[in-house]
Amino acid sequence: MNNNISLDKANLNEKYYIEKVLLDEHTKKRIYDLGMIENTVIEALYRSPFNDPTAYLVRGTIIAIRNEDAKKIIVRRM
Amino acid sequence: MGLTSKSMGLNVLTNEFLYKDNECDIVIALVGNPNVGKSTIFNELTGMNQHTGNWTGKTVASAFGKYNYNDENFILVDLPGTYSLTPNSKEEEVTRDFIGFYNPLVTVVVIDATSIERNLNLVFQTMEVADNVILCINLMDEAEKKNIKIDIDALKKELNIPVIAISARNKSELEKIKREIYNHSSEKNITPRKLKYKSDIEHSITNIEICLNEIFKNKNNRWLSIKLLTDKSIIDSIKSFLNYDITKDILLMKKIEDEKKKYEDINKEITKNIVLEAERIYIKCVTLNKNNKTSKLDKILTSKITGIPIMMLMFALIFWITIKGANYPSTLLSNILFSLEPHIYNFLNILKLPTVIIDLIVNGMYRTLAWVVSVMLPPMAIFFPLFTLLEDLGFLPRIAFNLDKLFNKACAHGKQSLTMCMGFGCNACGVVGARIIDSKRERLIAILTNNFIPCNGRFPTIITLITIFFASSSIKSTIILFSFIALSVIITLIISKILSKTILKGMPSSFVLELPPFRKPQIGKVIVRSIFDKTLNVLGRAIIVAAPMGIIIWLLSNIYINEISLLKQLSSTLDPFAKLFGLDGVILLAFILGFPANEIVIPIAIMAYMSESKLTNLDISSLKILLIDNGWTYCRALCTIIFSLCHFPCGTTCLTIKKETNSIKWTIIAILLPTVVGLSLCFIINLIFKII
Repeated sequence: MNNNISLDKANLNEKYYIEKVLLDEHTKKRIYDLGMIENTVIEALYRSPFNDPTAYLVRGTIIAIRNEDAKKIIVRRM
Repeated sequence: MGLTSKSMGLNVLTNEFLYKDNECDIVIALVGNPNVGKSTIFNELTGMNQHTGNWTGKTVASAFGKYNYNDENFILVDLPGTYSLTPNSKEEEVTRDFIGFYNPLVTVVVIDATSIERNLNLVFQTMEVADNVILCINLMDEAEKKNIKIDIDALKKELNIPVIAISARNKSELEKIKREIYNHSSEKNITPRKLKYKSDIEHSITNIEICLNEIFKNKNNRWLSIKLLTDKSIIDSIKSFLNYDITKDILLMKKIEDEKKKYEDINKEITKNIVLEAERIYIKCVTLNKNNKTSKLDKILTSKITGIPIMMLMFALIFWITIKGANYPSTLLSNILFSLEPHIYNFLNILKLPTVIIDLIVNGMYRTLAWVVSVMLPPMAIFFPLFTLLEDLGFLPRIAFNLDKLFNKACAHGKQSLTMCMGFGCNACGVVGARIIDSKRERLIAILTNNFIPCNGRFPTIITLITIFFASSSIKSTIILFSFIALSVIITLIISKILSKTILKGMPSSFVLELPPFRKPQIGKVIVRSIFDKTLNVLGRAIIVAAPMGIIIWLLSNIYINEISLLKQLSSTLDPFAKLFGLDGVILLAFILGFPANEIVIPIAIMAYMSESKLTNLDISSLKILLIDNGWTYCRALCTIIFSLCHFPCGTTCLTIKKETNSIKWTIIAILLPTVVGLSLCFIINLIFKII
């Protein structure tokens, strides 16, 4: 069974591990700087009123990411 | 596009020299992630002794401040908030360049006690470049509330730098920072632990470092090597600060490329090393008793049902308080200032000045000034503190979060909603604020469209006309004002979309936004700071502009050719053109003469209408009669409001746009764009009214 999904498909209030970041250079840099590297625990907290972006909890900080970018972040179920 | 970091970076350095009174002044740099209370610390340490203000407490440009401790002069440099010294934006480049190339004597890294793990990333990167580093853990009170325990001694040992834990709200604790800086400024006695990377990366770094040692003596070549491997923008900075063009050094360039090729993504490897080290230290030094990840407040503020309405209500409330609350002090101020007028006249008479000069000073300059002060001061003194409170609370990022989808659809950046919010205060501030957007294209969109948001200076015009023509009660006028604001937001979005489909083609860039924890703002301090810093600042600028304008207007209305004043002649020349757009010559001329400051548009119009050709203290009802006598209709009032929303930016904003974009082309577009939109809308409205 494939445990990998893209981050935008992650269920709210469930924890995942980051598997791979497939974003462009620039965004990837920012994502890494926020500590979102491989095997980091990430959890979707809530979505904005228009369903996009979504707020995630990473290393004690809440970070909002657009769904189109979250599509390019692969996560693994715990 | 010309938004070069080089010019900004050098700017920082030259500014720095400008403010250094004495060679022995000790330069201290302050760095930190956004939202860690860095600016609070800066403000508290330097008091009112600052050189470049930054708007509503957030650092948009580097600010410099001085303080004295134990007879030593310290210059504190508040660098833009950054997550990393491998920059993603111009702001962050300034920070990196300042620490890396200016070499301040001490660098203080401010971090948030409630999010130490992420903040350690910046700490490690700073220790890599600077020698004398002090770690300042702020917001200890917040950490305590959240039951976060930090082992300061263990942290000290791990990092091998001095660590101070404070709550910047608590004034006495700031002494600790001053003392620590003082202790470590006398001699360079801190040797931070330099992070060791994986052996293959260390090998690559050494390979580059060997080459650099041949070129640069006494520079931090290890750091430069790491940067060269991970950060292209360092090449430009090396060129401008160390006068060496690496791109011409083909051998070195090849070596760098060869080393990079050994890894799938060297940047990732290096960041991974740092993040894992931060994680290790975090686990060792911090204990978390209770995991409180989201506040209920966040759920309410961003929920589908309540999110948007609460946001709207909040803004409506702020505008209502501003309108309602400004009325009384405005009248009071104007009564006082105008009652002083005869006394000034008499005083100048005693000095035996010629009547023409006295007239020019009193009826020209003083009256315009009195008008500007009484109209502008009260709403600003109410709006700025309220807005700062929202900002300090952490409410603004939630607005960006809630509205990002709309901006995404307009191919713009969610953070543009924040620059728009700043625009309500002052468009020039909004334009500078656009630096928080890291992609060039979206930043330019935010700059070009900022003027569609009515600033504080335009509110008096809009509110006065609403009160006279469209609504009598303050609730009604708030609702109407709110609709006009909504209209300005809609126009902004449409124009953003059009811009990104035409002259600024491209896909929207990524949107990664931190939602910082809510914090209780310090109400007293907010009020004092926003009044002294922002309100008086903006007012001062307006006065500088209004005084000569008052003289020009007086001259225009008092120089007669063929028994008709110049002002009348100019306005009647403009009249036929203005009528096409539902305006009249006088109001169009008022907008043109109001170029230095939008506040004086209505006063100029009134002056032109009145036969005595000078500003007079008018209340709303006599103003209404005056306007109606001069042919004002609903159509003209509406067109004037629309033109006030959409016309060329004021002088200050134009200058700021020129400075920020470094391009005359974009400045001209920023002037033409709203003017064309405004005139077209007015033309259509006028047409519709004529048909009806």
